[in-house]
Amino acid sequence: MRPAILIAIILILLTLGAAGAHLQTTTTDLSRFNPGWSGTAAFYSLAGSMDAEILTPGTNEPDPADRYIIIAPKDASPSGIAEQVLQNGGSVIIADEEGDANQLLEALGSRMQIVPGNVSSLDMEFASTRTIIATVSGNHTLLDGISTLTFNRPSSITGGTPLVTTSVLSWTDTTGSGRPGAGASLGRYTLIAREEVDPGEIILIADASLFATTMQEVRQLHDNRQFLENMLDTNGTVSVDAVYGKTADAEGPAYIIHKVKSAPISTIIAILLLMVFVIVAFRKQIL
Amino acid sequence: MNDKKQKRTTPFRLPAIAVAAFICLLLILPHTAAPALYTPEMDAETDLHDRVSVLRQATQDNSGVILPLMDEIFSSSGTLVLNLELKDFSSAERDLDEYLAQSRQFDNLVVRLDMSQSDLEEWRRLNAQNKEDLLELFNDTRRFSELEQLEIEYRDADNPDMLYSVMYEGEALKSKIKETVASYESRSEEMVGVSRQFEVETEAYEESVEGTRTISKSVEEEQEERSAVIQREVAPRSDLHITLGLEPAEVRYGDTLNISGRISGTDQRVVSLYLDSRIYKNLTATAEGTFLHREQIKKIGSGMHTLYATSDGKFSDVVSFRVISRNTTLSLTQSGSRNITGRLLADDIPVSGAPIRILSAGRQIATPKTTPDGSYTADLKLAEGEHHITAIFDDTAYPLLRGESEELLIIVDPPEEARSLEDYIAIFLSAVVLIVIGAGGVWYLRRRSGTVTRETIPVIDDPPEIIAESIEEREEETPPIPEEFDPSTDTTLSTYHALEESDYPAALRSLFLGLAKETGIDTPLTATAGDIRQRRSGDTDLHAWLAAYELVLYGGQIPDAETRQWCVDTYQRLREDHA
Repeated sequence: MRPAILIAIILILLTLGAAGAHLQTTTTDLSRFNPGWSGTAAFYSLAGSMDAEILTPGTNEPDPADRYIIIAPKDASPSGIAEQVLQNGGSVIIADEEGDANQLLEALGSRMQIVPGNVSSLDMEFASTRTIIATVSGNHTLLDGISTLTFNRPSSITGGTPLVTTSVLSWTDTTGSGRPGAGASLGRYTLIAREEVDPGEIILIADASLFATTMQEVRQLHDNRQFLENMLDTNGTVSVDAVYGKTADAEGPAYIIHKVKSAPISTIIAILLLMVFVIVAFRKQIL
Repeated sequence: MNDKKQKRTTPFRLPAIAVAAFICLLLILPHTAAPALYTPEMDAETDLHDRVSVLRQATQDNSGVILPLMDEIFSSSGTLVLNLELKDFSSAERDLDEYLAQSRQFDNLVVRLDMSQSDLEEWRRLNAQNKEDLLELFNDTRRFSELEQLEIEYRDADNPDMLYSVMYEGEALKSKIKETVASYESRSEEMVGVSRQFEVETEAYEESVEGTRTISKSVEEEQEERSAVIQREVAPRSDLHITLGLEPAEVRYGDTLNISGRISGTDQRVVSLYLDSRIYKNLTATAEGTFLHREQIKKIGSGMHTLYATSDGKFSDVVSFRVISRNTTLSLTQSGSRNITGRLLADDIPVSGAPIRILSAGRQIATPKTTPDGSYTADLKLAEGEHHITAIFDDTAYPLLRGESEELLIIVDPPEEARSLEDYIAIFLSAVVLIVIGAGGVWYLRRRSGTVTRETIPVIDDPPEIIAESIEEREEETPPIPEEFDPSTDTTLSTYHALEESDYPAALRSLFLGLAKETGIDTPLTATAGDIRQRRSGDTDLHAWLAAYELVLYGGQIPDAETRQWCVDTYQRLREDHA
């Protein structure tokens, strides 16, 4: 093959590779395809490195894990997997702040609910009352070695047994002013709670942002890193949802690419297309 | 066809690179003030979370400061009341100082944290009222205790008048302490409720409320005993009488309190009135001994007050009246870019001389006083931007309830003149920069190639072979090459004359190409003066012409008219000689 053509092919492949890598990313909030600060790519990378199983679309449903983590579920769709985990005595960890997880909680028979709203506090980690510091108030193995966590615009939880709560100088910021408006009362809010659903348990986290990359970009952020590691590090198996939650979301070209990639037949089609390309190249004496 | 071509004009054109550079400058210029096209702060939040890595990390454990402080305030008030109960006034004074300092610290925290609309502000308000009560309780109980010593001294000095004075002052203090304790007790339920919301221990506070009750009871018992003893020991002078009356018994802000009485059995006509055990006014009674004073209720605290009259060592009975608080309405409007105005009314009665606190985001920025019609104005020192202003009246020296205005949003724009001037300067400088760049570019291009501007130029048919070669060189500057010399029909000369005024080097170049062609050079466009000299080494006229040509083309000289004419004449002669 002529060197010029070889160089051209290499350049084209490099360009396509770069474009492909770029088009696979997105800026969608909490998306695992979002490598930016607002995505969860870093958490999924951590999960992968700690041998957690990432449940992606198209993969065969594995045996129920001992722990199932789902971030920002959109509806009750994952109730099947969650029920299996609970029936085997495992724990289901649900993180949400917009209230969409309430459908799943109801489907699982939990009395806990997410109450949407920006919980703010005078105990803050950064120069914003929305980045609040909350302390551990209950006992749980998930909170071993943890005393304080930083949250990022969390909502709150009703029901269940509180595990992590804010200080009493906290309120729901309805005005966006960062200060309690007229009539707003200060009080303690539950940010992480648990409830036993025999024989398993559900742990509800009122802030999906705990998993966002921005919370991992800050080197010293109380015990947040330890908390993520505790979630992924258990004696049993851990599976992390990447199908039913917002972490599976993508927009624009990334959406199409991941849809195609997630289709089971797509790999076969891609291989076939490559073979056709190689055959045509030989016939045209390019290769 | 040729004529038509000759009449065709070439439009004014700048090189593309100059135009592109100019457009780039135009695009960049508006961004010179804020050169950052992207910063992380521009992408600092989404609907779900903040980008914490761009926020300033400053851990603030405010609950770890505020809640213990609330505990300490309760604790200090508890020990203060306990020491008052024990009549240990030096320890009580120390506790009071500590309590006041802690309260001040708490007030500052509420303001600094901008929690003026929260439950913390409610707690602060209740504590401020408690502070007033405890301060009064401390002063009154200490004075009451001092009366005990005075009573002994006057008894030893056998001074019955002063003994009566002690008795009446004791009566006044008893009433006042009772009133203060009732006030302190009245808000205990509310205070305990708000405190429990913050999970603050209220035991010490509740004990202090109980302690104040004990103090009041103890004072009452002591005073009754004192009065009984003094009245038994010192018989009142039967010939001297002072009567004192008040009307009405309950008054509000703006009401008139009528104080009247009569003195008899003495020629003394000066009567001193004591309000809450302090000298209030000296009145002169009439010849018949009657006296009258009308007082309009203005700056006097709400609650129970006592009054008695004394003259010539004789005291009247102690009478009391109650001042009841009125509701207030406080208005606030903007009267200028940084000016505000408003009015304070107590149930439609203008409040005069009252201090109004003006707050911006919880911080006090002005304290104007009301005029007799209840209005106030203030010229605020506000920076540019938005300001949420509120006016508050909460001076407890008046029998008025706290009043707060509606929030007023004041937007302070940058000074008009200053901004306009800056804008004009920026526009002027931008225009100067652009003009200088443009003029410089034109000058440079003209200097370099002399092809920036052109007059109407006749288009000459080029020989095909020359056109082919000239494409790679200078498209417009290349004049056509004549086939043979004939001055009347020589296109080279006509080209020369056409370009002579606008672009002399190009005009001369056309003659050079004619000579090059004449000397038999196949590619005149690439020919140099040296090539021609080699071919015609003995032709001195030609060498002189070529020297003049080089000076113009490469030396940048523009010859005068005489030299130009010489060039043309020499050219024609050379062509004719070799024709």
